[in-house]
This record gives sequence, C-alpha cells and structure tokens, in this order.
Amino acid sequence: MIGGIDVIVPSRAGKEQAVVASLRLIRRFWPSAVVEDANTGQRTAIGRDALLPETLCDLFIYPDEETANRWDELGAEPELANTMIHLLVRDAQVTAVVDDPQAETIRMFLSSLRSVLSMNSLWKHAA
Amino acid sequence: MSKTLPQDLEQLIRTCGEDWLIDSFHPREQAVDVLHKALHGATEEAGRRGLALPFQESDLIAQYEQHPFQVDAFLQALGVTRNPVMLVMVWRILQGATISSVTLQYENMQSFHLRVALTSPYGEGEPEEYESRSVNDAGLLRHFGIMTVDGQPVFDGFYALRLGGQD
Repeated sequence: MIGGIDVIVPSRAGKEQAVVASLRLIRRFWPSAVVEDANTGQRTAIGRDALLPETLCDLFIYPDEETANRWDELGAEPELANTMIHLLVRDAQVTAVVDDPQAETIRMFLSSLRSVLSMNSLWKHAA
Repeated sequence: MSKTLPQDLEQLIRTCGEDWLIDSFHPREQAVDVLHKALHGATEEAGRRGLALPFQESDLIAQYEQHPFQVDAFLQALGVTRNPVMLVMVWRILQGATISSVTLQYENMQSFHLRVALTSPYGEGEPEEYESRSVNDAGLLRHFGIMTVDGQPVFDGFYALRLGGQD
C-alpha cells in the first residue's frame, strides 16, 4: 500500500464491538485472515473457535499468513495491492486505509461495514 | 469497564454492568444459584453436542480478561434465557459460527418455534441446529448483528446492547 486511501465509516457500536464486527466481516471475505497489531507487530489468526480479539484498535489485516509474510519481505509492492487493510478503530468511527476502495473484496467489506456499524442505536458501549 | 478481574460470577456480572441480572431476580438471593445452574445446563448441552465450551464460572472470568465485551454479550443472553440450547447457540456465534438460517413461526396465543442453523465459516462439519419453543428466546434475536453484504441480508454476530437502566 503506497499512499493508501482513507475510508471513514461512522460507527454507533463503540470501539471494542466495532473491532469484533469488523473482524467477523473480514473473515467472510478472507477466511484465513491474519491480524497484526500495528503497534507491536504481533500477529493473530482470527479463526477456529476462539473469541475474536477486541482490544486492538490499530491493526493490519491480511488474507492469510503467506500474504502477511510477503508484506514483510517486499513491503508495499504493486503486486500486493488490495491484499492488506489497515484498520483504525475509534469510538465513533472506523477508518479503513486501502489501496482501492472499488476493488471487489474491499468494496464489499466497506459496504458491509457501513451497514453493520450503523445498524442499531441500542449498541452497548456506543460512542 | 474495569480491568480488575472479577473473583466470581456475581462480580463478573456486576463488573460488566449487568447488575439487573441479579437485582431484578425474585427472590434476589437465589439469582446466582439459578444462573450457575443455567451455566451447568449449557455445559451439559454442549457436551451432548460434542463441544467443550467454557461455561464454568472460572472459564467465563478467564475469557472476560481478554474479551470483556463478548462475555458481556453472553451474560446479557443469560438474562434473556436459561435455555441451555440457546446459550450454546449464543456462544457458538461468539466463537465465529455463521448464522446460516433463522426460522421463526409464531401464532398468537398458540405457538412459537424458533430454529437457528449455524455453520462453520470455514465450511467444515455439519450445520448445527438450535431450536426453542419458548417465546422469551425471541429476545436473543435483538442481539444479532444485522446488515447487508453485497445487498443481501445477513445476520452476523451477537452483541451486547444498551438495556433499560444502563448508561
């Protein structure tokens, strides 16, 4: 990702529930997704019957471990376009930094995220 | 939400701000015992399904340390239902199961039938079926994440809601 595009999605969910909702959605599109804490570099696979991490608020998301490793090796090369989402989760909004918001998977993820984060004024812990 | 780790189920409930689970119970002094029994029932139901789920008090407290908001959502479910089948369903959703279908049949003053099918997000195993004949369990549906994905309807996730009396 070189000079990614910031897409801001308003959220009524509160930070932690927005993280969970975002990661659940990501897993629909990238079933083997790997999440990396942007502050520590620690990676977590987000599947297989474990509750999702809810305390991360600045994270990189890759489709799988192999792609994450390629990002480590190559950095922001064009061949890796649209294979990483940088998510910054705050109380009232989620910012997704992406290469191309119109790329199919990214577009569907962003559209779904807008939908779920606006769904319900009854979210507990809402901003 | 406090970072101090609760020591027992009552502290866990109160730390999550779900005091109503205990305080609105009648008789109040029996609330924790009843909730323990519900968790025990859920553990047994999970076992019947070949699942090892963390419904013991110590398990929930341990999960709370890393996942306080998802444990909170489960505790709210415990306030809606003591039905072990539904409690297992809720935890499976929290674990990431996909809500693949919901069937609700209701006839005023006659019948209620809720059926939820869950599948693995990885396409593994057989669908899991969860059924209830108790209308109270309809309250669980309010906690489902509701959205569209590519214009199509989706229920996904189980979330804590702001309930009456909560800030």
